[in-house]
Amino acid sequence: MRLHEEPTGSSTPSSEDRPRAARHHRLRVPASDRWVIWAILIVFTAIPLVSAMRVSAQGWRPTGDVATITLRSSDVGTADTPLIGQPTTTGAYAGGVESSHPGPIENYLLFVPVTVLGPIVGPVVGTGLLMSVTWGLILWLAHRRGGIVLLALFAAVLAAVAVGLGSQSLHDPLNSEISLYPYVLLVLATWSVVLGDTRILPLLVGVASFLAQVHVSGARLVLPIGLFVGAVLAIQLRHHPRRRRRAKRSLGWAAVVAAVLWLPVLIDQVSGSGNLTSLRRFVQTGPRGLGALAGLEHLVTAIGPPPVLARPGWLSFIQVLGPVQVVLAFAVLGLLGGFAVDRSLRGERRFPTLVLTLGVFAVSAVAYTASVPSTGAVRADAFRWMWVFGALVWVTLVWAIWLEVKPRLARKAVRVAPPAVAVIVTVVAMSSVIWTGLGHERQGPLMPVIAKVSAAVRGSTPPGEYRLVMDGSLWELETGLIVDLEDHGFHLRNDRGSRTMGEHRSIDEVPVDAPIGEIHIRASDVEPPPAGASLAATADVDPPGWPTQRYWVYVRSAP
Amino acid sequence: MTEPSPRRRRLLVAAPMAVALTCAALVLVGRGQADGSDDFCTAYQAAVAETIQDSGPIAGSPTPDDVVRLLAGMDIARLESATPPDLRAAVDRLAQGLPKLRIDLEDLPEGESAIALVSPDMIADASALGDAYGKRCG
Repeated sequence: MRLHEEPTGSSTPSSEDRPRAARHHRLRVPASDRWVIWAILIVFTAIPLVSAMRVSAQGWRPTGDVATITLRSSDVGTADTPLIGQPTTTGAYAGGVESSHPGPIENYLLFVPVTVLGPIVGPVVGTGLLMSVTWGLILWLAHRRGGIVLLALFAAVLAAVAVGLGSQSLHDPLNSEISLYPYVLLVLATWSVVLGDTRILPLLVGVASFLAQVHVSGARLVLPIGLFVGAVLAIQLRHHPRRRRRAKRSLGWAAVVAAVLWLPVLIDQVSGSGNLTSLRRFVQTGPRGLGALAGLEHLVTAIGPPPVLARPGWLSFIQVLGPVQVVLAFAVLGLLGGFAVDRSLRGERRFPTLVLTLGVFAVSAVAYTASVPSTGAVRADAFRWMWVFGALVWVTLVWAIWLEVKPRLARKAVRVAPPAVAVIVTVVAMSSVIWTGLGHERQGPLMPVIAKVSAAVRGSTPPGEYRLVMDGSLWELETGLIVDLEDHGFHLRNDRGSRTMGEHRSIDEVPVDAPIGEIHIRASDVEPPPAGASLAATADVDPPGWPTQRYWVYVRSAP
Repeated sequence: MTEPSPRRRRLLVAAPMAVALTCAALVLVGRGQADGSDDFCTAYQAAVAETIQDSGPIAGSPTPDDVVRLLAGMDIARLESATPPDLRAAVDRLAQGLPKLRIDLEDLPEGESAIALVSPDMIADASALGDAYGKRCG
């Protein structure tokens, strides 16, 4: 039985904090704590997956961008395997440069669930599974860094973010939302490596690559953190030859992980669309960003008090806080810095390196926010770092206070408090699953609409190759419809361009006189039917809370 | 590493708080000096985006009636505190006119067009805001 807990009633550094120590807690702990730790790990790891399965059973289906992610995931392993990520909005700005998010890693990760479970269930359950693994890794790493105390505190971070953002955050495949919990893992893995636990390096490279590939916001946040870790590693390995030998294997595995994950992006760069060049050009010539002041304001809003995750309203993240709150938010950061310096002067490393890691994360986040174009200012998904950072700051402050008061507490209180907190936050986290439902999903009302319109098309039109034209309908409906109809043997082509759904779905790749039919869907019958087409079906939909809508399906057979 | 003196130790521990409070001061001073453009961009987006979010119809390229309803739903209060001086008059006029437009819309009989409820001045003011957004925030 091994447990490296800090000695109760002593203010001397623990074995964990000795300068050259990169020691870690193992899951072999006192029997009294063991069941609590395993219970927390099992329950937390199950929460995202259960939430995904629950919403899937309620009728979840891919819509909008999630539908294009699904389509591209089903293309993995074919001649149209994606080499880059989802399209970005860079083309919408002045002098627009068309580009995509850096890499296809999410498509590759969702390939198996989409293939095994199908394109309707696969994306959400696959994402739930991915988040379950992420939560498991976060809690494992938290325990490795600080036993049941940090396990309980990081469980509190997960519970707070899940409850603050709602159950959708547990299983949302949207590439700008899927980064949320991996940001927590990034902080923990970075902290571990800075602390000298180089065995975590391959995991750090993996999670950093994931964040950098799925969305440009992740890439801009991860890049400075990567440079920081590189610099720390270079200094550590230069001054500690013994550690260099030990780290060799981890460095090798990290290089392998990086090479495998970035290979598709490099192939695209060399012989494909040259997406990295497009992204670089946009950074150089794109619109001016929000500026440093906005970056600092977002930092304040993230921390509060109250932190962004405790504030209601979907625009809470751009609320400008009052002067007292500004001072309080920075005072919290100052307090953490003061604790870190104090403990560093006492020869400890664990707490100071966590605060240092959070500091680097904060600087990266401020720099990234300063660069966000004004037109992206109200997109909450571009600022998800705020929810994670706010929770991490407060939890780190709680840990600092715990470290200070622990020597003065009774031995029994020290033993009982962390498991008790862990059990409470587990119950809180479980509550997030209770609220799972289509009403809490982005575009939830759209999901039954897609099912109904798809059924109308399938009931009136034989499968085959068609051009799909949508009049007066949302983009979200179109992509979801394509997923559903492809699943039933249709091959649909549209005019969204090959960057969005691949060349094999683009009408641009088909000769004008090609013998393919046309499915034309309208939200109004005011205009006459399209030339040569006849009305095949209508679909009446009345999603809860939205106006009743009728869709008209016209079909023109192949010549 | 030699142990720092108690005085030096206190200074080192206090240094992060000094840096943090300096940052807080910079934010507060920066707010006073901002020309309002960034606030305007964010506020305009928020005002319009919230309306779209609330109305959230499934389908339809916006008709003139839709545009009137979007205008009526615009959270003009959000813009009032974040508008540069040259646009303040337009925002003030809209803030005065929108409450009546909302009441008129509620009373509008089923099937009648809403476009007649909007005065040319109101359209001009709304257009001025949209143009300013396009030029300053695009």
